[in-house]
Amino acid sequence: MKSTLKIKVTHPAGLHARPASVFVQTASKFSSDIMVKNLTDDSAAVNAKSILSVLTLGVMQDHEVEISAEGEDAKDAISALEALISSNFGE
Amino acid sequence: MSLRELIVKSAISIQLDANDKAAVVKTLGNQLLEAGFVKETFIEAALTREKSMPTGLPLNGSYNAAIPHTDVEHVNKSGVAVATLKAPVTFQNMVNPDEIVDVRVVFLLALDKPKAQIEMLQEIAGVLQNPALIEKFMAAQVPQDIIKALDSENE
Repeated sequence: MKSTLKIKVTHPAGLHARPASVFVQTASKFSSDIMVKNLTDDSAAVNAKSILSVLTLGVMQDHEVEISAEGEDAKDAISALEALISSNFGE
Repeated sequence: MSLRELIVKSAISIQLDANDKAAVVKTLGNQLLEAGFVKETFIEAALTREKSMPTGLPLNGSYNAAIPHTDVEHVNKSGVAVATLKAPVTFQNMVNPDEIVDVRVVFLLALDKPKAQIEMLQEIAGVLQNPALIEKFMAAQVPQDIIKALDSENE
């Protein structure tokens, strides 16, 4: 199963500091392979479960990212990450 | 500004003998303070942030790292301090704060703009994903060796 999402990160810290940690924590709960890329910066896709990889994307406020998941729980993973980003990481 | 440009030569500590993370942050923070990069409040603010948002990072190679930093208001101008540690000190994991990381390499970041902070973390995350470069850092005998290691990557 494969699922993909394009979404804008509106949190002032982008995907950095607490948002980056919570993003990686959430992605790590799922067994699917999850990749994320920074569409605004046209980066390569990196492992969403690695904090270092996510930090290398340099996602700032209002950058758009593409998240893709592949595996049994791909759909749930994408829903969870979408809820997280659209709720501004619960802040 | 790149990491290479922002590293403060007088704030590089090689094989630092420190008991805990607070001692590392104080040593490096004082070097940045003496060189005029940060305000008096910086060290305390960095240690407070470390408690609520830890920065320990398990790496793929033999050594782990931490990248303590704090809000821009405690900074005069951007600079980065670096330490390699004689013995590991523990930091909490950035992703799972309940987990402890034994750290041998510390980058203390003083950035004067939020955007610069994100760009610097982006670059340092790249450095930390390069185990060969971290090995070179750990092998450094004098501060200049750290600079040389970074230069060798940019060649």
